[in-house]
Amino acid sequence: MSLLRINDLKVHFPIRKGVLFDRTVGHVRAVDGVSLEIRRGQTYGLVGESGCGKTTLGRAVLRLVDITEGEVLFDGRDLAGLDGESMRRERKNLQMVFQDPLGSLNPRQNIGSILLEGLQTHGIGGPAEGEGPQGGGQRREEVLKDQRRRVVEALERVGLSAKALTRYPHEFSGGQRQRIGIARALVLEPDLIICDEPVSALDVSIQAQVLNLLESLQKELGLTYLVIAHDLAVVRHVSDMVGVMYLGSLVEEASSDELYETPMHPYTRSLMSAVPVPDPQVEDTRERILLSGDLPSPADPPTGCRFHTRCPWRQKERCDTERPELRPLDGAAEGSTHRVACHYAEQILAGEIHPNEDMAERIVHGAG
Amino acid sequence: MSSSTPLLAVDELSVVFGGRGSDEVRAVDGVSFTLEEGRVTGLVGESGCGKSVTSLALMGLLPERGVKVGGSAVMRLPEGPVDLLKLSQRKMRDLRGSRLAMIFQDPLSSLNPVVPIGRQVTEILKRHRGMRGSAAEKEAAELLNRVGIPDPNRRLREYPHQLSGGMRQRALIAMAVACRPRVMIADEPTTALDVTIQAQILELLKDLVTEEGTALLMITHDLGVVAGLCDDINVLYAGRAVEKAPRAPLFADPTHPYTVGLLGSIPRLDAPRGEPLTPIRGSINDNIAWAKGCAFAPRCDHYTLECLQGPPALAAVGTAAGVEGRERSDTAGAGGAEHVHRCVNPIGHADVLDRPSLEGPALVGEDEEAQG
Amino acid sequence: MPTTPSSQNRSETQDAPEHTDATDERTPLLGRKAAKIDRLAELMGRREESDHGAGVWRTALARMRRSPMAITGAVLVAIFLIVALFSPLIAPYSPTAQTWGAEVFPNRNVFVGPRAENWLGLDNLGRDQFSRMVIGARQTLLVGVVATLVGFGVGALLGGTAGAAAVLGGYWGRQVDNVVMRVIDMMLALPTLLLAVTIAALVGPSLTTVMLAVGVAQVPIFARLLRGAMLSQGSRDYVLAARALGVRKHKIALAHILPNSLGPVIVQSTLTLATAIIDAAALSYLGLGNPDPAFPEWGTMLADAQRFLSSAPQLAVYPALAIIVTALGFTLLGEAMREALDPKLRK
Repeated sequence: MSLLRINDLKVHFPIRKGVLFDRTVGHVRAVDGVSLEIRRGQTYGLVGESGCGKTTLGRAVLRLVDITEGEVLFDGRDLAGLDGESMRRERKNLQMVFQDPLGSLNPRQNIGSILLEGLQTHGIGGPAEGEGPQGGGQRREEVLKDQRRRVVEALERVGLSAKALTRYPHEFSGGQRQRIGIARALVLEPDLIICDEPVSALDVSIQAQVLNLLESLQKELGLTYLVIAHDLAVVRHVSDMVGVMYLGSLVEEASSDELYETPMHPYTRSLMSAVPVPDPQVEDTRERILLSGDLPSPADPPTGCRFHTRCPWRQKERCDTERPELRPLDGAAEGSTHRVACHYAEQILAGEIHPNEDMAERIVHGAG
Repeated sequence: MSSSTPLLAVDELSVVFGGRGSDEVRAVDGVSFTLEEGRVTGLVGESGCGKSVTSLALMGLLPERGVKVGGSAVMRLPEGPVDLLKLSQRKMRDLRGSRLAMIFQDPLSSLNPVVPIGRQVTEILKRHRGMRGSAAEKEAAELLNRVGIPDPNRRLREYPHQLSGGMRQRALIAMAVACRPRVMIADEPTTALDVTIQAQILELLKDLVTEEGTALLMITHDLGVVAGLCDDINVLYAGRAVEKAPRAPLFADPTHPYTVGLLGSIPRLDAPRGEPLTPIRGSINDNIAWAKGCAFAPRCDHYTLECLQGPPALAAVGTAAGVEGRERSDTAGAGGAEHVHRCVNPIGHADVLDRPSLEGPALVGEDEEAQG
Repeated sequence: MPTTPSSQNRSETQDAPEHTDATDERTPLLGRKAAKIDRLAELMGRREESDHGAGVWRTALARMRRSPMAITGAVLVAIFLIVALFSPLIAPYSPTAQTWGAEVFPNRNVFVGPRAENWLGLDNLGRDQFSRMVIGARQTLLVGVVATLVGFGVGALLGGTAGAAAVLGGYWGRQVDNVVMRVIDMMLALPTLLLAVTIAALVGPSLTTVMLAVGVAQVPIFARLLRGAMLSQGSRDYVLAARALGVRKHKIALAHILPNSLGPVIVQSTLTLATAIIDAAALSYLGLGNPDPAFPEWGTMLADAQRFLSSAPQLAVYPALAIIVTALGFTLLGEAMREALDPKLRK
């Protein structure tokens, strides 16, 4: 049962020029045709380097950026087609945790007011804001009490005490601020939480605390996560399914274990070989594929396969002319979820095509 | 492994900020390590452990007012050893860039935005190597080529903002190696970069060390980077080294609870999914002054009453460290050993798996990261 | 104290219930363990406990208390305010009564300097100079405050509208912002003096003219400042977080963006008070101020005194000094506030 289903999502940002009147001179194709599916209770990890469009994708699901084209089916309804007010109401079911724990909290609000805001906005535990009190002061008091109870409960779930309510964001440490950000999402009891780089701004020891917290919350509350991160190790640790993004599109998607065991897309392989592992033995013996050059501009993406300009496995035909679809492998096992966007995935996997040493900056073969 | 005399020997370096009005902050509190030819020494730790301050102190880049630097950092030069911490500003300026180079975390802010890359490189060549005109330009192009910047002659005329993050870091490294420095300090050189670019830069640094015999001081928070690059590793916590060892024993048999905790906090790419992480509780703000006991004790699952009796001393692994002053073992006793730690109740191999999970003290919450 | 380090971690490493007390466990190690914990607590020290967190303004105030610049400014402003507010009680004589008219002969260069009866001497008509200065302070304050309020009110309204529209309004919002800002640019092109002369020509010289002219001249400054601050706040993550929470747009603008953008505007208003006082004095000096002698105003007094500058320079020095010191007080206070509120200078 899929909770979120994205069909051919595109987000293009216009590049504007002109002093008095805006003139659109081109588009940045931040997200350019992504389809994916997240099952209820699962964690979908989206990984990619800066500029690959993963953050934009996350924001597009919440309609925080305008969707150019495509569908976002949440629980069967298309969010892309909702008007502003319906979308606003829908947001209580989809929440977001941000990368910068301090920046995402209003410095002038104390924690209590930060956490109450969502409840009040959506009228959870009482009449919606603006509709006025329905049963006089007493009812209002009850509502407030109920809301306060929910807030304290959410705080305790993330490991903070009610004492935090009257304090301000800058009085907390980075890890605690991120817990507050998580509590803000939790208090609305959403079905889906989008975590945009939830730990990358934190110290290593704190990262583990927050990752463990996210995991235990998922177990307790049956949450569904879309985790967006640049760190493949973090994504692999928390995710059931992993999607790898490059220049606005998914290049490979598989279950976490499958992806690690048999990465098929050349980009995934080089990405994986670049992630440092805190173990000297592993570091000394593994193969490393060093890509040459940098990410091309998403305003002017390469033709054909987006990765062909840096791909060590690049072939003369098809790669630079035909854009590969995300597809299951030929002859894949029944029930395999592994999909890859490469014309030559089968041949690469079978070892029929070897990486071209000229195309990569270098390929370091493991010593052992 | 340390048979030759080191290129740079840092001994009991301490940096104290503040005084006058506000409380003193001991950012670095007696850190010692050595840099040797063709080897990489790593300083690892989280924010606030004093690793960056250490590098700034060595480079003489700390502000003069309100900072007290103690200890010594003796660098071996052809004309005889000099103490970097006691050198005059002018002498230090000559040394920086020629014998001693630094690579910073943020390449964009370390490059002058209004001067083309080429001029910035040739400037160094002119100042420190006395090269002129076309010779300097040719050498600059050669340097860019060396650090893997394609089409160097065109790049020389470009401005920093026209280069990508990875290219900027390469340009910065080119400037750092322009005068073939003997000692290079890299302060989180890859933190701002993507992993695939990070891998390129790390490979480049590795080559420089092995080919040129440069001594590299690598400062990072990433134990993965350390595992791949560093030969000797110092783990810092709250301004002091809590464990130092060559990389193999450090990763195979970490003994200090902090090192163990750090390793347990990192999700590993090659670990099976669902393997739980064992984080360190609390945050860097939960500490006590080293003078009174082990600064890590409030976050430690392993602390004993003895940990709180006084500052633990560095001791060779296998012997538990005594409290400083009680047995004057300090660094002298541990000098010869390769693997030393600063812990009264270290973790043996067997303990790592079943850490006794004692109730933490119910007291002060981590408070005020807000420095104002 | 928000939490204990242990309570934070407990739910993650082990599934212990939320409120286990250390003393609950009956182990032989209990005594030793308790001693250990007590010792740790002692070493970590009891940090200052307060029930309420410190907001931005509170911490800024604490910082300002340590700044000599802020203290000087505050003292000067306080003196000025007390004098202005209680002027009828402080002034020993009527500012208009020519009580000592028989002692002063301007055409014969006979003036009366400071004496026990009249602390600052007499003016050219034999009125008590000290009383006139004190009553003048009130007029000056009135001009400064009203002009600043006009500038602040209109400016904040325009700038706030433009800023909110630009941040949250999408395409049409950007158009609204564009139009408003072009109008403000045009206002910015008009010099204060020209504006004042024009207004005076239309409605005649009066205190209202001065206040209006000075106030209108400040409008574009306030508007641009608030809009700029709102734009920069609008791109911050907490605004995105509020949108993700489903908060209504007008509430995001009013409850999130605006309060965080007001800091620089409030600081500007103290600085504007200083310029408004100087501007008002300049306009009065040019004869655009209140011609009614019953309401002495420092600028008008300065203008009147210039005729006797060679024989009685003190008549010009007193009001000039008062203007300078008051403006200085507001400027110091404003600068200190700006510094205290600047997040970049906070550490």
